[in-house]
Amino acid sequence: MHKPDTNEGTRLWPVTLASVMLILCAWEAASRRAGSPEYFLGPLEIVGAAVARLVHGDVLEPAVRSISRAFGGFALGGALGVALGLLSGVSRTVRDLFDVPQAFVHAIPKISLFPAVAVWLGFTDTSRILIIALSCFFPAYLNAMSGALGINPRYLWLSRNNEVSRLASFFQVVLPASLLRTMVGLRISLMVAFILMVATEVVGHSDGLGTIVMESYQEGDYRQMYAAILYIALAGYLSNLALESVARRLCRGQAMEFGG
Amino acid sequence: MTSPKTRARWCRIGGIVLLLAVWQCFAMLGSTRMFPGLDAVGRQFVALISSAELLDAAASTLSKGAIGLLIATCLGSVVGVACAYNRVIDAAVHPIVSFLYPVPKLALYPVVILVFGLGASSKVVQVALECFFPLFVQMYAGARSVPKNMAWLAANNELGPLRFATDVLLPTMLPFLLTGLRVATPIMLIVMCVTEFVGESRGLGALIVQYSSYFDTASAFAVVMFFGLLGLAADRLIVFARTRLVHWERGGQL
Repeated sequence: MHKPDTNEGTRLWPVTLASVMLILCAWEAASRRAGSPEYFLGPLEIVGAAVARLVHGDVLEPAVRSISRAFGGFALGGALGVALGLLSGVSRTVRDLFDVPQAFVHAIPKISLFPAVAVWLGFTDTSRILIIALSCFFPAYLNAMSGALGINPRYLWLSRNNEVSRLASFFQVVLPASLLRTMVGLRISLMVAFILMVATEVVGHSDGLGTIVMESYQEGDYRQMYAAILYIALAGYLSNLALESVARRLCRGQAMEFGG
Repeated sequence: MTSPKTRARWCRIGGIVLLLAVWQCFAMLGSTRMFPGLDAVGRQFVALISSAELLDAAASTLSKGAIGLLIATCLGSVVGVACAYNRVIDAAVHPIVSFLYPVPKLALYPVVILVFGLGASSKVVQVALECFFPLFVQMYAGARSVPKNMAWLAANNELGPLRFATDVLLPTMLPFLLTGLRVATPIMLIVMCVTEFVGESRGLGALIVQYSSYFDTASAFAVVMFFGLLGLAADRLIVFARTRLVHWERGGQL
């Protein structure tokens, strides 16, 4: 995402602060107004509920379960996607082989497979991770491929002229040169992983943060519902932040520009 | 020696055959009831299409999704352009959007249900909520990418804000809009699918859940296939629109 220039950003930070405070205050005030519906909680109450759940200790286990599913699927799908994507970028045969199946399977919203997959595997971690991995595969695959296709051909000519083996040139030229685009793809994959984490936990009986949200909605325990939503939001935000810092370190010296 | 072109075609066909063969092998090895073969899925697909059940469900799903996408596009353009042209608004809004972007908005669906009810409006709102972010990012980038020369030229010719919007801004932003739509359409399908799983509904997602609960996986897969065809058609449509509408930008990346 585009970051404003640093001096511009530092000059206008009071505006940012003011707008955030304004939204939070308006929200709090609206929730305290008499006659506001029961499910309408203010930010203070939500944070209070979230902290209470944390102190109580009954949020950690589902959170760990949820996040490990998201990361398991992300790692599996992302790694396969990057590997196959780079291979497709390098090899014409692999690219043509995957062209049509990829276009078709990519178009299916993978979550629509979940009920059918659950018929074979049950509503288990295996079926969830499978669906998450399948969804994470495509952004990683497509971006890694376009990254590998966009390499300056001179690098490849240079390595070929120096009689570098294909394997060595794959790791020493193709991988670093397409890293930037690959990381963009992985970042999209991570976002998708979290969306699918919530989606697979909401459907069917399950455990995890998404289930807590849905169950406490059905039971009318709105404090718990908002607390779980807050934890999901934090998990998504923090993991994105972590991946971004890894990407920054890996792509040091390359112009960082994370598109959506 | 075959020419590279025919070789590529054989590879493409090989890919399709490979996919279908792997599927059919799994189906034959496993029990056919749980893992239907291609013939069963194909039969159900034809049956569902001819009974108009599938088309009804698709119309219901797509109409809601399209309205949500439209709302997201309008909001995304307005906020994106406002942020691109006004630093104060940018400072006020952009950090909040950046914070919310990687957060799965789907977790908010129960809240959306509480506010908008279980009917169509909650689905439309959820789609708009989830699709707003990619569209905002693209529209912001689009509004920022107006060439300096064009802006100066427009200023020198004393173009009013309306003419500026239609003659300079719109053509510059059009490719970005199409890219944004290409990102947002699959998200729209995902959101529609999940929201139809959860609530009582009559869209494609509800159909999948219904067939899966009868252990009729062949029909469920037929609906999934139809979902895939819809997604593919939408994607091709956007690519086609791009080559037609933005004909001056040949070979631009989507």
